Amino acid sequence: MAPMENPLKQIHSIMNDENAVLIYSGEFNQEIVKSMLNYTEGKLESSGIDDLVRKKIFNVMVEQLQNITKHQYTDDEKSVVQPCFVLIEQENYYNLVTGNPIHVDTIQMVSDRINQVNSLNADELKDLYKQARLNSRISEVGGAGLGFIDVARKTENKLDFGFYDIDSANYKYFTLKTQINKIIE
Amino acid sequence: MEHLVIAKTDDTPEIDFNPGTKEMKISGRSLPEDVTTFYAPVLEWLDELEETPSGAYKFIVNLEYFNTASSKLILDILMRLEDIHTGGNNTIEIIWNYDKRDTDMEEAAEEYSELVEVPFQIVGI
Repeated sequence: MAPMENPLKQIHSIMNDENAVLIYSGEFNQEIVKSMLNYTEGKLESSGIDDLVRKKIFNVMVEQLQNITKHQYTDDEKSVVQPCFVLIEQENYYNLVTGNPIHVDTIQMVSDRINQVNSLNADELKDLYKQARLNSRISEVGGAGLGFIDVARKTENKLDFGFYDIDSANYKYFTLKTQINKIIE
Repeated sequence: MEHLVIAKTDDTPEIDFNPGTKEMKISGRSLPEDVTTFYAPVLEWLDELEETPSGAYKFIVNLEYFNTASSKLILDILMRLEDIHTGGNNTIEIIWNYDKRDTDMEEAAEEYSELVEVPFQIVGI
């Protein structure tokens, strides 16, 4: 499930990559998410990117960023490791990477959900999304529980994820990497 | 019935529900932090419409983007429209406009159209 390389080292090496479109580490809230989206849209527009790819990046980025905003923990361990987001341009695709501390009690649920999504083809994902939306109730933090399914559908790629030890008894660091191809079929 | 107007922001769509023209329009982007609060007045307006015999209404969608939480609320709105349409006081027609290159949005509109029993046009522009 989790590759052994230290994620913070990985993120550090990504941060030094000249192809990074946006790197952020710190507090997440709706205002910060909006600023990140505005900045990224502007930067991508001026890069001459295909409109449809830009839209897909926007879609997937919203889900990944709001996922962190809604599921940040609020207890006193929050100084351990900050959440982060990185958008990086590769030759044939873009990667969107998020990292955030996650309570050990929720790891199994998150892991099961992503593994389920990764095991399905496009038609199966469509059916799961429709069914899950019908049954969904907006949670206390404002989520519909559809984010992973939507991201898998929009990117048409598998979700890459891991959980890493950090200096905490109750939290691990959850990373999620998605890939958006530059050529949409 | 009052004219319901909510101006658009960076993360919420424009709402323009006009009992004069009998057009209900939603346009722009929908990714609010709190979807339940944002859409509450829209659902309340539709509750009132259900009780008020006033004719043939059009629900016109010009959304360029919505997040997954909004997608749930849009389903709630469409189901409310179906109740109104089958309730007998008013009729509803849904017109969903989308950028014709945007197959994700086209697919989203098709999925909604399969879920509600209301005349539903999907128009690529």
